[in-house]
Amino acid sequence: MAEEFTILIDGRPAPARPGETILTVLRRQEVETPTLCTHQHLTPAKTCRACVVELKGSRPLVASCERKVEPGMEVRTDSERVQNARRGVFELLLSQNDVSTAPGLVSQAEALGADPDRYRGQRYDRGFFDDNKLYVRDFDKCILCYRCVEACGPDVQNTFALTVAGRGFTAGISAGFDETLVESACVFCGNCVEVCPTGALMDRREHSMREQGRWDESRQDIVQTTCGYCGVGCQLDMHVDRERNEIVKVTSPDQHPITLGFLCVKGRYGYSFVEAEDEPAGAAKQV
Amino acid sequence: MNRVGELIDETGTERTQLLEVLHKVQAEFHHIPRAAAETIEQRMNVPVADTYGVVTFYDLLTEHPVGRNVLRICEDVPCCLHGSEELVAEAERTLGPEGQPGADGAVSWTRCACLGLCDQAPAALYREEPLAPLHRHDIAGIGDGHA
Amino acid sequence: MAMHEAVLLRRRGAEQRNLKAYVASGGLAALAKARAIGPEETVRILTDSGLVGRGGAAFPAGRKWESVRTAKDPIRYVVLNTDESEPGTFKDRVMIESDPFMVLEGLLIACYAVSATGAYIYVRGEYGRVADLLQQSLRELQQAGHLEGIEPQGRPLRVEIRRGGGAYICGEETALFRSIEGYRGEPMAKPPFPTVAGLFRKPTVVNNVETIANVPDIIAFGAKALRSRGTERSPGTKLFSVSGHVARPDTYEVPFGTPLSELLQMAGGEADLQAVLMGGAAGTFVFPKDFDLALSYEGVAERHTTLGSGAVIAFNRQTNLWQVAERLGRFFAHESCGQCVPCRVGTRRQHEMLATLAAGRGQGDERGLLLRLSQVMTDASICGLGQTAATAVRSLMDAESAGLLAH
Repeated sequence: MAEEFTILIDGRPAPARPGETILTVLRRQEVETPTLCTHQHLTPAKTCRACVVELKGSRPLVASCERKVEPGMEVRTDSERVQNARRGVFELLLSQNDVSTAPGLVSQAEALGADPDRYRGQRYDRGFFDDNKLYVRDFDKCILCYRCVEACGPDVQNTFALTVAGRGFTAGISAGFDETLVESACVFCGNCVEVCPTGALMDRREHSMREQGRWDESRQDIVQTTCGYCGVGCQLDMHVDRERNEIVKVTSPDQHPITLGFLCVKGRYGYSFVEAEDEPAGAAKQV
Repeated sequence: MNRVGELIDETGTERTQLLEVLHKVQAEFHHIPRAAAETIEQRMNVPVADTYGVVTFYDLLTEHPVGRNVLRICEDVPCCLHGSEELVAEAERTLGPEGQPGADGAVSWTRCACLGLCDQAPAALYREEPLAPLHRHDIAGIGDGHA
Repeated sequence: MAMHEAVLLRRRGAEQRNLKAYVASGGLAALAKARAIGPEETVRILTDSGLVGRGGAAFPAGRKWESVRTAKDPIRYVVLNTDESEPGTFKDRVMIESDPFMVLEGLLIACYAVSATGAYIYVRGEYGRVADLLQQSLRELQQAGHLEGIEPQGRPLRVEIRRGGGAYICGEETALFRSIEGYRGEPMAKPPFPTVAGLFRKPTVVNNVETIANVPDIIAFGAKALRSRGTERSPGTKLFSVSGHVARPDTYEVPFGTPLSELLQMAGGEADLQAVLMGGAAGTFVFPKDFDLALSYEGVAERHTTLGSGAVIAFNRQTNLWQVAERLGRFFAHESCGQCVPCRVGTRRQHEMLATLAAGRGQGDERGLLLRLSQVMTDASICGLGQTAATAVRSLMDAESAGLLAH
C-alpha cells in the first residue's frame, strides 16, 4: 500500500491515503459535510454539489465526494464561500422538490441555515407513477442524484433500465419512451428504491401505509434471516409491524459482505407472495 | 426495423457511432421510434433506455415525429435584435403549434439556439440549410409548400 | 481607419477553393516542414510562438501538445472542436468556409506532432455545410496521399468527421468526448485533464478551429511570424464575430491590441451604441466609456471583461438590456445539461427572475437574489456553463448601479 501523507483541512493536518477522496478524509476527521448524491457503494455522481469544498489552486469549489486527495492539498470547509454554496444548493432544491419523505435532506438544510422560501419559481412537477405492484415513483421528490441510474446500471444490477432523459430543468429519471416499468427492462430488484435518498422511489407497501397513516418505524421490529430462494446467502432484514404482525419491508444491511445492501426481486419483494397487495391503480398521470 | 439495421450496418456497431446512427434514423423517420431503439439495442448493445436518454438530450433528435421538413428559427440575442420574435409568432400563426407537423406531416417548426448565422440575422435553418435572413414571406411560402 | 492585412482569412473570397489552388498559394509547406523537422521541434516552435487557445480559455497551445506528445500511452487523439455554439459567434464557420485546407493542414500538423493514432472533427449538427466542406476537402487531401506518414504505426491517418446533436454544452471538451463516444453530453470532472485522459480516456489534444488555423503559418514561417503581429503578451491576430446593431455584421480579423472602437467602426457600428456584449452569452457588457479598450488578453483583463469566443454583439440605445439578459438567461436554462443542482435549478431560477425584470414586473428583491444565486452557480457548478451563466447578468447589474443603462 502506498505511503500515507498529510493534507490540510481548515488549516489542520489530516492523514490521507492515495486513492481516497477528500470526503473520506473529512469523515474520518469528523468534519461535518452535507451529502446527497454520494453513496458508499456507488460511483460518485458529483451532481448535487452539497459536499463542495474550497481547494487551494482551484477557482471553482470542488466536490469532495469525487476529488481524490493529493499530497500538499489545502482544503477549506469553514469559509463563508463554502457555506454559501452548500446553503444555495439546498435552497435551490427546496424551491423545486417535495421533501416530505426526505428527512435527511431537510435536516442538512436546517443545519446550514437554508431558507426554504429563498427562491420562488416553477416546482419540479413531474408526476406520480403507480404502475406496478412493487414500487411507486414520485418524481416531484426526485433531486436527480443519479443513484438509481447507477444502481440499475454498471455499479450494481447491470440491467440498464433507467436513464436520465431530457436536459436542464426538464431532465428527469426515465425508463425510456414513456414506458411503464412493466414494459421496460426493469427486473424489479428494488435496488433503485434502496439507494433513493428522498423517497421518490418507494416500496408500494410503504407508500400505501404512509397514505393510510399506518407507517411508523418506531412500531417496527427488524427480524434477521437468510434468504432461502437460492444459495447465495443474502442476509435479509424483515421489517415487521409489531402490532399487525406483518412484514412491511425487506432490506439488507449495507455492510453485509455478500449484499452490500443490494438484493434481487425475490429477496426484496418475495414476501409479498404471501401477503399480496391490491391491484395497481394505474399511472395517475398519462405522459 | 430492417431499415434501421441497414443504417447501423453502413455506419458501424460500436457505441461511438450512436449519434451518427440516430442522425440517420431521424432523417428518414423524422423521429426515433421505440422500435429503432430496440434494433439499436440488439445490434449495437446500447440499452433502449440509454438511447432514449441520448435522444432527449440533443435538440436535433426527437422521440416524437416532427415534419418531413423542419424550420428552425433562432431566438438568441442577435436574431432577437432583428425581429425573430415576430417571425416566431408568424410561424405559430402559419404553421401551427411548435414541434407539431400538420396532418400531412410535411412541415413543423421549432425555436432553436444560436445557429452561428448572426451575420445574416434573423436566421433560420430549413431542411437543415441556412435560410437567412428569414422573412415573413418565407414562412408563408413554407406553409404553402412553395419553399 | 486602419486597414488590417488578413492573415488567417487571406484566402477568403478566393476564386478557387481546392487543394491545387491551396498548394499553389503556399499551402502544405508547413506540413512538409513539420515532417522534416520532427514532432519535438514542431511542438517547440508552437510553444515559442506563444499561441494560446482561441476557444475561450486561452490555454497555451504548445503546452497542450507537449503533454500529449510525451504521454506514455501510445494511443492518442487530436480533436478539432468545431462545435461553435456560443451566441453571437460564427468566426469558425467563416474560417472553414474561407480556407478549409489551412484548418485541415493545421490539424494534420497537430496529429503528426503528437503522434496521434486518430483524429476527430466534431462539427455542430447545425453546420451541415461546414461538415460537407470539410469532408470534401479531407477527401482531396487523402486522395493526394497527405494522410500518409502521420500515424506512428505507418497506417494512413484516420480523420473522422462527427456531427453534434444540437447541444451547446458539447463545446465543453469533456462533454464533447462523451458525445463522440455515444452518450449524453454531460461534462466530467477535471482532473483528469484531456491531455492525460481525454477521448476514450486516452491522451487527447482538443483545439478550437481558429487555434488550429494559426498553426500552418507558425510552423512554416517560425514562431516570430505570429509575434510580428499583435502585442507582446497576445501575439497574432484574432477573429471577431460582430453582430447586432452594426451596418456590416461579419467576421473581422484584427491584430491583438486593436481598440474595440476601431473594430466597431469597421463593422459600421451605430454612432450612439448603448453597449456591446463581449465574448458571447458567457461574456460581459461593455459600455462606451470602455470602447477604447485594447482587444488583447491583457487589455480585456484590465477592464474586467473577456474576449471569450470573440463574439461582439452591439446594442443601440433603444435596446432594453434587461430583455437581452432575459434571452441570455433563457439560453443557459435551455442549454444546461441538467447534471448538477446549481446549474440545473439555478439557470431556471435565474431565467425566471430575468423574465420578471425584463417585463418590468420585478418585486424588488430580484437583483439581490440574482447576485446571491450567481455566487452559488459560479462557485459550485461542475463546468464552465454553470460557472459563467451569471457573468453577463452580474455585469449588467453593475452597469445599472453605475447609471449606464438607457432604460
